[in-house]
Amino acid sequence: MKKRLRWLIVSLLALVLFTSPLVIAQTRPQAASLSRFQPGLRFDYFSRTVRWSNDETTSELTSYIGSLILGIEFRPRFSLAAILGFSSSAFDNVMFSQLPISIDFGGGGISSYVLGGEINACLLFGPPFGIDIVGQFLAYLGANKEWDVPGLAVSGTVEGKQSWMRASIGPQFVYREFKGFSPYIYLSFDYVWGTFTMKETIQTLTGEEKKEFRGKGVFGVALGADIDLPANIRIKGEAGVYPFEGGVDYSAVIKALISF
Amino acid sequence: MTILRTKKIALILLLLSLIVTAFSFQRQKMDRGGHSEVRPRRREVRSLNGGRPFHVQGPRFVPGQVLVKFKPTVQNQLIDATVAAYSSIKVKKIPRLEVYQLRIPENITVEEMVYALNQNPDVEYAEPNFIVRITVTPNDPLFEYQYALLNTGQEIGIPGLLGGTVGADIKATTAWEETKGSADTIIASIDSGVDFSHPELKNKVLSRGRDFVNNDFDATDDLGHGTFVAGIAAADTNNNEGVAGVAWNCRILPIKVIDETGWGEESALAEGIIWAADNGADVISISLGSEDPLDSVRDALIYAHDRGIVIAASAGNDGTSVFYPAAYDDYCLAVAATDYNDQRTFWSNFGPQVDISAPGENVIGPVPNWFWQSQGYAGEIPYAIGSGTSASAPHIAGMAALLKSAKPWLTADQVMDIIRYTADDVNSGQNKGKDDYLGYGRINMQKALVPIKISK
Repeated sequence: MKKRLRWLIVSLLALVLFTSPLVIAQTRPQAASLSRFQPGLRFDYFSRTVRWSNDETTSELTSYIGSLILGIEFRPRFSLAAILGFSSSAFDNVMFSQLPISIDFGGGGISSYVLGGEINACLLFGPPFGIDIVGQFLAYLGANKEWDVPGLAVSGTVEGKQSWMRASIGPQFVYREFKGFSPYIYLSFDYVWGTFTMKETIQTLTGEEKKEFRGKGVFGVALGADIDLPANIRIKGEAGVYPFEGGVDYSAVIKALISF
Repeated sequence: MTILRTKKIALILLLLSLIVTAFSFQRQKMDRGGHSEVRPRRREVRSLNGGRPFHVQGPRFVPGQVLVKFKPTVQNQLIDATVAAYSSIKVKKIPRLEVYQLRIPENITVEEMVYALNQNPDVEYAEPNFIVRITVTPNDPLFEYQYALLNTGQEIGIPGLLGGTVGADIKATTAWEETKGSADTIIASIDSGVDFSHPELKNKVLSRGRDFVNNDFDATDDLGHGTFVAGIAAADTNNNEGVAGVAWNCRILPIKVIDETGWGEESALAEGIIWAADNGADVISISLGSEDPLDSVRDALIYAHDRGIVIAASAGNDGTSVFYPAAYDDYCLAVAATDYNDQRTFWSNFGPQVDISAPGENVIGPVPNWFWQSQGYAGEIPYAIGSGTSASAPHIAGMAALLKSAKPWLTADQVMDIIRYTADDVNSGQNKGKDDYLGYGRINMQKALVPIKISK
């Protein structure tokens, strides 16, 4: 089921990637198709309630990501971007009860690199509203971090490694009547999944437990705006909510791009 | 143009407020523990999934009720309106705390209501009306004398002798909150057999066992020692009678290798170990030994150890070097004795083979129903207070059984290491770290069984 869902997301992203230029061509007159380079900076925050697959308990994943964006606008309103960043991701209490000595982990964040990509393609451009398809994929590559196990007769450590992926895709309804300011609402299918591995080493006693998780909610809605400033600078701000049964998660994005 | 500009400003403000609101919501969540669901408190309710053994069960909180405290600035009218908005009814207010007990509608869970209330900026905190209880304490009337399991400084059954130091115990009650063991986990008690009619054991024995003294299949105790040590390991617990066993739910497989005079043969001990390994034992408790090496017993230990069986053996009570088979360090845990002050008893044998220690001074346990009458004390209850590493070893065996119950996949070596490494180094003042007297220290069942918290 999970695999099928992941394939669906990947397929949707691929579909958007390959069909968007055609759609653009059909929906608006040909414009001068000069590619523009769009580097920028981006800051993401998101919290997601995740369910652990092996014991059905839940935890909250909180992530802060600072990243560089290397975007290219191939033609007006069709852009691809690579995301290269650094993130600190933390879970609140996670129980590792399959280790020789069980661990109730609340050790805070683990920092790691983040790689990803983003696609933004205009499906309908026309005042007052336009419709874009926006897709994004982020992969938190995971790094190891070590903690001492307190209170033992001997020294011992646990070493945690998280990795997760987040994929989202959906339509973005943009209001284009204002000059230099385009508010939008983004409805997304948003999926988070990953693993958290904990390795225990206490003298001769060793063990490893790998836990898989996935986000509880899969749909989100975000409000945001693109603000065009002089000197080809664009600022983007967005805040989103991700409801799930019994609660809601949040996200926020601030992005600054410059076009050449 | 002006209208457009006004709209633009309004939309920018809306956007900014959304971002700020998202952050402030999150901050509130983090301030309240960061949970978007009310997670089970670690030591209260745990999942039964994955074939894990019995855990403490029962409701964690009162159904249909939450407790909520509003911020001090919130007026009563607003509190009433808020409570009504959540379709809830005030049950009462806790005086001085300004905490309201609310009855919530049936179509919403306590977790959902707690979450919803915690999102309300007027609410300081909301939580389920948790059920509080004392730590797991069995109802066995003599439990109060079992300082080894829970030392509150209480009397330990000998007039005038107090229990000593508060906390000088193996933390059994806290560990029992995590697991009380499984009836499928079997402790083979290789000793003088058991009294099958004793209320502490009649429902706890797997079978009539094996008697290598009389070569039959009826390990009836005609000495008393076997009943005593088996009861320490796994007496019927919470049965409103007598004492509690360390391994609350685990069962005993009695194997008799000691006769009514207290003597046994090496061959019987070796056979007993092999028989235990072949007949379902997960743990073997041996409260006997010899100062001479026992090669055949060593081979039997290897046989059992290779089959994943954890073996605990008493170090001996002569204040000399560690007895065999305890001294076969690679295959069993050699157990020394502490007292009610976490001090080593002077008679506890010592040497580099000592792995671990457990209370062995003035420990209470069951004796056969006929025991006191045979000693000329008719009418006494069938319990006794005894001392020796014989009493220490079954504490370790009971702990090993709980570990095997909770984590059946662990190897014998892993269980032995857990028992060693989670010990309290109670004599660190004189001998820091592992030493020849108490090994790694006095066992601590809480550390071994309750998840250890790793914090920032």
